[in-house]
Amino acid sequence: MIKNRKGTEKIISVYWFAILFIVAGAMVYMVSSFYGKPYDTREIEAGLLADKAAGCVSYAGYLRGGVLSQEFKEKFIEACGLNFETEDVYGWKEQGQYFLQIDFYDFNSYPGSNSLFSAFAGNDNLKDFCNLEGEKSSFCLERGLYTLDKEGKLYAIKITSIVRKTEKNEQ
Amino acid sequence: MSSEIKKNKKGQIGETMTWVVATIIIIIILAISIFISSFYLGKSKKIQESYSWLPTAGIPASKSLFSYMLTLDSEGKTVHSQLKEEDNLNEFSGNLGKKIFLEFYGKEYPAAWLGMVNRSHLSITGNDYFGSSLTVKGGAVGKSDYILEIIRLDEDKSVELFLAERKY
Repeated sequence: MIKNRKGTEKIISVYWFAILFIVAGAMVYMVSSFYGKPYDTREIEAGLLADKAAGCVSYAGYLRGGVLSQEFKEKFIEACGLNFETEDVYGWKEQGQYFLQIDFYDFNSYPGSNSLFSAFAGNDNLKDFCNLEGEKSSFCLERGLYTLDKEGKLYAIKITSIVRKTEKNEQ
Repeated sequence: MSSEIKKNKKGQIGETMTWVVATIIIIIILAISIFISSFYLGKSKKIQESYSWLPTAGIPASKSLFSYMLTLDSEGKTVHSQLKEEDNLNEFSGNLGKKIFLEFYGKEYPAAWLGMVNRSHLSITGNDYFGSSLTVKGGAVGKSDYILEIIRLDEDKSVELFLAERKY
């Protein structure tokens, strides 16, 4: 009888170890699956880019002087104080991970009219991936802005901001 | 003797059943936890821009409101001074507000309200263009769901713009 009890205790202790390992393994898996994924901050990045662009073209309610010029178009990044630098992984530096475009329309004939003026910076190939669905595609954001110049002309402005960084956000 | 063995066997079967049931319960709980952590919580890692505590949230909308207030009507009067004098939207400011915040911003913010608010009485002055107020269904509005811009005209009166990211 005593022998039998010893056998049962052994089996139970083996069982306890098995359960312990299963529970520990499951906890490690749960923690790694939750914290293992990186935070996807592309929406914030795209939003900040759009906000920066809005601040760049409109100040105190009016369109900034010199915005609708060839010089602004050519020096868009410097004029708006943008920084498209990224960490040097997955060949991101060569490829370009950001795109920003500002389109100006006549507010009175918007929508339906062609843009009066456009300026863009960054990797314009990213625009082609905007209509694709899924986590692997780039994050695209469109923001609208209404403003007027000192002469009272009204403008509807469309700001398109795109952040790629798909490699880090598809895991 | 034989009845004693029978009793012992019954006890052993009962004990085994307890462990089997306990194991099944442990495995079910673990499976549910793994499912939730990897398929539900694991996906909610997106940090969204709509958090209204972000100082930058709604900058374009705020700038648009400033520009709206500075827009001149056919008599050369700004929307700001018109609202200060008449205490409500007129045909020009109402239609312009509608075009900007309902039509132009309609895709970004499906629900919008623009109008005058008396802050000392905390009363909303309804208008023909945006209605009396935005009807909020289903209780309190979450902080991340809307943008509220306020421009004070004097101590009591203010112009307020409410843009909601989803329809109420």
